[in-house]
Amino acid sequence: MNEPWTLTLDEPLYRQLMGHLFPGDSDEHGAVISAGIVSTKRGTRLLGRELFTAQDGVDFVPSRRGYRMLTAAFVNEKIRHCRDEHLTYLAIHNHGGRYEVGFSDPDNSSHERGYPALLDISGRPVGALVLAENALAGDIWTPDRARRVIRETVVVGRNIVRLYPTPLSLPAKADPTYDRQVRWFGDRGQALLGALKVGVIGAGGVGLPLVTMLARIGVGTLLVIDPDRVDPTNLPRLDAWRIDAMMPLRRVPGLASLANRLSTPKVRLARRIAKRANPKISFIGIGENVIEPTAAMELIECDFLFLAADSHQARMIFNAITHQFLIPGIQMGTRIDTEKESGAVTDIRTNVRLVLPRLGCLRCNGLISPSRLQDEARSRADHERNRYVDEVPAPSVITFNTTAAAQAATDFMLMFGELVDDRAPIDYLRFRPRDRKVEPVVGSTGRADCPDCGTATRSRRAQGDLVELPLPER
Amino acid sequence: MKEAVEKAITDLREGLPDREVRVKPDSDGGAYVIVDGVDIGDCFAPAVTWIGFQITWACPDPDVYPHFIDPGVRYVGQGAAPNGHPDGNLPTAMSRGHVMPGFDLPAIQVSRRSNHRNAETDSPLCKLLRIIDFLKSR
Repeated sequence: MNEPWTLTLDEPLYRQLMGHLFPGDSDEHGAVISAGIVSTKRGTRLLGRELFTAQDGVDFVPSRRGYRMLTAAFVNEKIRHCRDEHLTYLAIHNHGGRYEVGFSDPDNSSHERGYPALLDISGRPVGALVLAENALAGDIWTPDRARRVIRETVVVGRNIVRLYPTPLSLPAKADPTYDRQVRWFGDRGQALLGALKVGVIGAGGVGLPLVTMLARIGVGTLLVIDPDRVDPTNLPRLDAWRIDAMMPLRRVPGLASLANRLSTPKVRLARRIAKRANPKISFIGIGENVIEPTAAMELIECDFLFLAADSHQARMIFNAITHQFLIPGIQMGTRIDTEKESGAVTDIRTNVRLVLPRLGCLRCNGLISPSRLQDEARSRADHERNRYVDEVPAPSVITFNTTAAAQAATDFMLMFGELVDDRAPIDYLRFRPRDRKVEPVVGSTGRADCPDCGTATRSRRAQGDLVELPLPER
Repeated sequence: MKEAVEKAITDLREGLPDREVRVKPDSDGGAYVIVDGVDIGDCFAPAVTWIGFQITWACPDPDVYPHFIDPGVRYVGQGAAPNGHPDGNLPTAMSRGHVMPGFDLPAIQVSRRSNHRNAETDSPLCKLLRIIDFLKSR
C-alpha cells in the first residue's frame, strides 16, 4: 500500500463526530469509525464509512493506565463488525487545544499493547485517530506490522477542509504571474491548486471552457476523458480551428467519413487549450468513453471531478465514483426545451449541481434514467436497427455552456479555498436566462437504501477498493 | 457475464420453471435472452410465442426494454390497433420489421419503458411478467 496515507471523511460524518467529541464540556470522549480503503499511485486513502459513538461511562470509561479508554466489549463488537465488512477499524478520542494534536505516551503504549491483537482479528489495517479543534493525527497499523501516520485528513462538504497533526509550514511564494489571484486566496491556496489532480469527463461545449479556466487558475494536473472527435457542428462552441474538423476534406465528395476519422480528438484539443493556458500543467487525455475501465480507474486518483458529458452511463459512473471513493464533484448541463410542432423555445435551464458524498446523489434525484442506460448499453447497431423514432441532437449554445463552466470552476475554487459560507445552500444552482434569474433548487436527500449513497450495508459509499465499479467486462 | 446478469438469468429460470430460457452472452458482460413457449393471450394468433430481450452489463440499473416476439404473430383482438401494417395491424407499442439482437431473428418489437422503476425491486423477470400482462390485456 503506497505512501502517503490520508483519511477522507464526508461532512455529515465529520460534523456528527465533532459534535460528539466536543459537546462543550472540555472533556475527553471516544468513538470508532469504520473505513474503506483505496490504494493508488498517489497514496493510500482511508474512507470514513460509519461512525459509532461510545457512550460516556458505558463504552468509554476511566482507565488505569491513561485517562479514559474504550471498553473491551465495545472494541470487540466494532472490530468484529469491521472484520465481517472488510473495513478498517479506527478508534477515536479527543484532546484539548487547537491546530495541533498528537498521541500521548499512554496512547502509544495502549496501541502497542492492543493493536497486534486487533490486527490478528481483522486481518486488515487498524488504527487510532486523535482530534483537537482543527487538527487530526492518526496511527495506522498494517498487517505487515508496519505503522503509518495519517499525513492529511480531507473533509468533503460544501468546503474541502484539510486537517493536519501540526500546522503546515509556510508555502513557497507563488509564481508571480498568479499575483492577482494570490492576493485573493494566498500562496497556500495557489500551492494547493498546483498539487491537485482534477478530472473532467467530457471535452465538449461545457468541458473545454472549463479546461481553460482550470488551467488558467493553476490546477496542477488535469485528466480529460472524451471519446469524440471535433465535428463541424462543434465549431461554434469550441476553441478549435476549421482544420480540426477537417473542413477542407469535407468539401471533396465522398470523403466525409475519412474526414470524421481524421478530425482532431477532443482530448487533443483539450491538451492544446490547457497547455496554451498554462504551459506547466500536467495533462492526461484519454480518448475513450468514461465507462471503459482504463478511463474510469484513472478517475479514482483525482481530488475533484467535473461531469460535462450528457450520457446517463457517464452519470452512473461519476455518481458511483463520487460516493465509493468520497471524491467531490460537480455535474453541469443545459436543457433547452422546444415545442414539438413549431420548434419554439419553451424553457432554458442551465444546472450546476454539487455531487458530494451523501449530498446531491444523482441517483436519489432521479437523474440517472433506467431507459437511457438501456439505450446506451445496447450496441449501437442493435439500437439503430430497432429504432423507430429519429433522434434529434439537443440544442446547444456556447453562452449557456460557459455560464455552467464558470459557475462550476468558481464553486471548485471556493470549496478548496474553504471560502464557501457555512450557511450557503448546498443545493444545485439553476440559471434561467430567459427570466434573468438564478435560483438554488432543493434536491432530494439521499435514500437510506440507495446503492450509491445510502447507509445500508450494501451501498458502495466509502467502500473504496472493496466493491467493483459498475463497468462493462473487457 | 457479469454477476448481476447471471443472477437475473437464474431468477428468470426459477421464476419460469416450465419455460426454456435460451441465453447468449453479449460482448460487454450482458446477455441476450429468449424465453420460449410464452402464452400471450387469445388476442394474438398464435397465442404462444417466444419473447426475447437484452439484459445489459449495467444490470440491475437499466430498464430492460424493448422486448421482441415472433414476427408471425397477428393481432386478432377487438381493441384499438393503430400500428397499421399489411402483415397484420398491431396495438400501440408494438411494431413489425425489427430484429431480436444476439439471435438475429426477425421480430415484432414491444417497446414498453418503465421510467420510474426501482432497480432494487424491479428485476428482468418482473419486467417480463409485466410485458406478458400487457400483451394479454390488449
